[in-house]
Amino acid sequence: MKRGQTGVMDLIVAVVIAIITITAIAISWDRFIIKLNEKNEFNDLQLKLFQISDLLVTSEGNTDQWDINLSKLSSLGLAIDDRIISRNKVGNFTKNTNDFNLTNITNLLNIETYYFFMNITFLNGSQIAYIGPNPSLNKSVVSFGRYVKYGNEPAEIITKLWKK
Amino acid sequence: MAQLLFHTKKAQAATELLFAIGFIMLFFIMITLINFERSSNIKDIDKTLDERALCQQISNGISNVYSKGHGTSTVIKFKDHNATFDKNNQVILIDDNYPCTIPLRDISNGTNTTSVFTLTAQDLRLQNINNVVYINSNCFTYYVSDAEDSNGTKYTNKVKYNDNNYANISLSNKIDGSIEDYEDFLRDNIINISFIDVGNECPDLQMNQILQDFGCSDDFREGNAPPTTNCHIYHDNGHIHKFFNNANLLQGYKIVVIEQEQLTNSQLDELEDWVEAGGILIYGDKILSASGNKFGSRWNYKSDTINNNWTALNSFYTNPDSYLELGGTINNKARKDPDAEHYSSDCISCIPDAVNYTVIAEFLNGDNAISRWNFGNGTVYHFSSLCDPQDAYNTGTLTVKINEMIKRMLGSYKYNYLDTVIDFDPELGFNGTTSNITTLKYRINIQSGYNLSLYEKYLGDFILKCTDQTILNNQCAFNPSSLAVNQIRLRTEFYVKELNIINRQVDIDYQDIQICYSL
Repeated sequence: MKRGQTGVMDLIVAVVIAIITITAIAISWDRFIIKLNEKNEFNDLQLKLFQISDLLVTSEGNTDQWDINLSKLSSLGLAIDDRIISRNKVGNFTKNTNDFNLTNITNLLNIETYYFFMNITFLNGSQIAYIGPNPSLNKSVVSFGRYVKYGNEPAEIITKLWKK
Repeated sequence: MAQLLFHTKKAQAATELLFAIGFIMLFFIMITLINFERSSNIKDIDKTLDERALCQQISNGISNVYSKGHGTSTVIKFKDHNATFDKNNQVILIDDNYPCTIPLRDISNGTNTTSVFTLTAQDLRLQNINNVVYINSNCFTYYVSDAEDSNGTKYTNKVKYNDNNYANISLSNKIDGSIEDYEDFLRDNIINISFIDVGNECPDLQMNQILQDFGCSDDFREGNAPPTTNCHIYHDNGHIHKFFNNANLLQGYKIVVIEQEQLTNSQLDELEDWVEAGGILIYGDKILSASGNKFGSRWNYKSDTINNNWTALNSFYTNPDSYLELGGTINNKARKDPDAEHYSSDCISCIPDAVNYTVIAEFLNGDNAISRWNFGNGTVYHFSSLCDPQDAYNTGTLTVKINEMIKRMLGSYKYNYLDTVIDFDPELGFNGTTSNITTLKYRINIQSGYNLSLYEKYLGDFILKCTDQTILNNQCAFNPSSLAVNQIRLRTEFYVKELNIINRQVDIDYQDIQICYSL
C-alpha cells in the first residue's frame, strides 16, 4: 500500500510542476504577443513618419502649385525638386489659418489619430517655421531629421509623430 | 482473513492506478487543447505578419513611387492575396483583413470613376504618371504640359486640370481673301444680298461698282419672284412693299444695302428688327423724312452744304476697321466731298442700343460722316452718301471701296486655336494600345454654326483626329500617330463662319490624353 501511494504522489508532484511550467510558458507567450504588437505599432509609426517625411521633402505635391490654389490640393509635398524646399509651400504649410491648418494636414496625410510636429531650421539652429504641438515626455515619439535646401541655404526638417 | 486483506490491497492499488491513468489522460488532453489554441494563435499571428509585411511593402512602394516623381515605376511580388485600395480614405486592405494607410490620395487603377478597387493579380505594377500612382493599370492619363493660342497667350494652368477653371479664348476676326467667284460663293453658302434703290438715285455705274462680282439681278418686277441668283436689286416700288411686308423676303437676306430711300416707319421698324436679329445693313443718304433714332443710333437730317468735306479719322488708321478700307495713310487721310446735303449719324443718346459705335470719318464740323456699330446681333454701316456720281476721292473710289468691304464681309470668319503639348512616356512591355481618347471640355457662346477640329501635329503635318461632330461626351477617340515619342502635340481649332462683327469666345476647361495598352 505504501509503494502505491508513493507512486501517485510522485505523479501529482510531476503534474503540478508541469502545470506551473506550462502556465509560465503561456504567460510569457502572451507577454511576447503584447511586446510584438507594441513593437509592430512602433515600427508602423516609424514607417508612417518615414513615408510622410519622404513625401514632404522629395515631392512637389499634387497639384504641383497647390500653394497658389489650395482648392486643387490632393497630396502634400513641400519640394520644388528633390530635397529642395519651396519657401511658398513651407509658408502655406505652416501658416495654420482657417483655410489651411494642422487638421487639414493630418487629414491629407491620413494621420488623424496621431500628433504631428514639424520644425524647419537652418543648420545654425535658427528657426524657419514649425507646425504642431511639442510631444509630451511620457509618450513614445518617432522623430526623423532630413537635410534639405531651403532657398540656397542648407536646412534641416525635423518631423515627429506620436499616438494621441 | 489474510487472503481477504490481500484482495483489499490489490483493489486499492487498481483504483490508484486508474486514478493516475485518468489524471495523466486529462493532463494530456489539456496539453493538447492548449497546444491547439496556441498553434491556431501562431497561425493567425503568422498570417497577420505576412499581411502586414505585404501591406507595408505596397504602402511603401506607393509612397516611394510617388515621391520619386513622374516616370518612376516598381513591381511588387504579390501572390495568393487580394488588396483593396480605397483612395479617398487612403487605406490599403490586405485579404479584407489587415489595413494600413498611405499618406496620399493620388492613386488610380486607370479608371477615373473608381475610388475603391480590389486587385488579385500575381504582381503589382506601380507607375507614377504625372504624380498619380497607377496600380496595375493599362490605362494612363497624360496631362497638358503647355498650352497657348494663336496669339501666343499661355493657358497651361487653366487647361491642365479638371477644375472648372476655364481658359477664355477669344476668336479673332479673319478674312479669307482667296474667294475666286463670289457669285458661286454666295450660292454655296446660301448668303443673299439685296440692294434697295426704288428711286433710282444710285447711278448704274456706281451701283455696278458696289455690286460687282456678286451676280446681281434687277430683272424682276412686281408680281415676279426674285431670280435664282443670290443678289437682288429692288427698283420696283410695289415689290419693295412685299420685301418688307412679306417677312420671307427680308428675312432671306444677310446683307441689305439702301441708298437714299425714305422708308415708312413700319418698314424701318421691320428693318430694325432684322438688324437686331443679325442682319448687316449698309445705308446711305436720306433714310427718314426727319431726324430720328433708328438701328440703335441717331440719324440726323441735314441740309447745309458748308461742311461738306469728310475726312477719315486718325483712329481709323491706328485701329483699322475690320472690313472697310478707305485707302490713304494717317499722313494722307482719305478725304471726300459729297455731292449735296450730308446726313450724319451720332451716338450721343444711343446707349445702350448701339454697341461699339465707331466713327470712321467726320465732317469739318465734327458730324459723323461714316460710322459703324453693332445693334443686337447685327452690324450697321452708315455713309452720309453712298452713290455720288463723282465718287472718286483722293485715295480711292467710294463705291469700289464699298464693294471691297462687302467682299471682306463675305470672306470673314472667326478663328482661334489652342496648341497643347502633352508630355508622353511610351510604356514598354505592352503589345499595343486598345483605346486612346483625348478629353476636351469646352463651351462656346454660339449654339450652332461653328466648327471644331482636333488635329495632331506630327512631323510638321496636322492630322485631323476629330471634329465637333465626332466628339462625343467631350471625348475624341484618338489614335496617336506614333507612340515612340516623348511629346504629343494637339491643335484644337475653332472656326465660326459669321459675317457680323461680334466677339466670340470659347472656354476650355481641360484637355488630356488617356492611352490604354493591351496587356
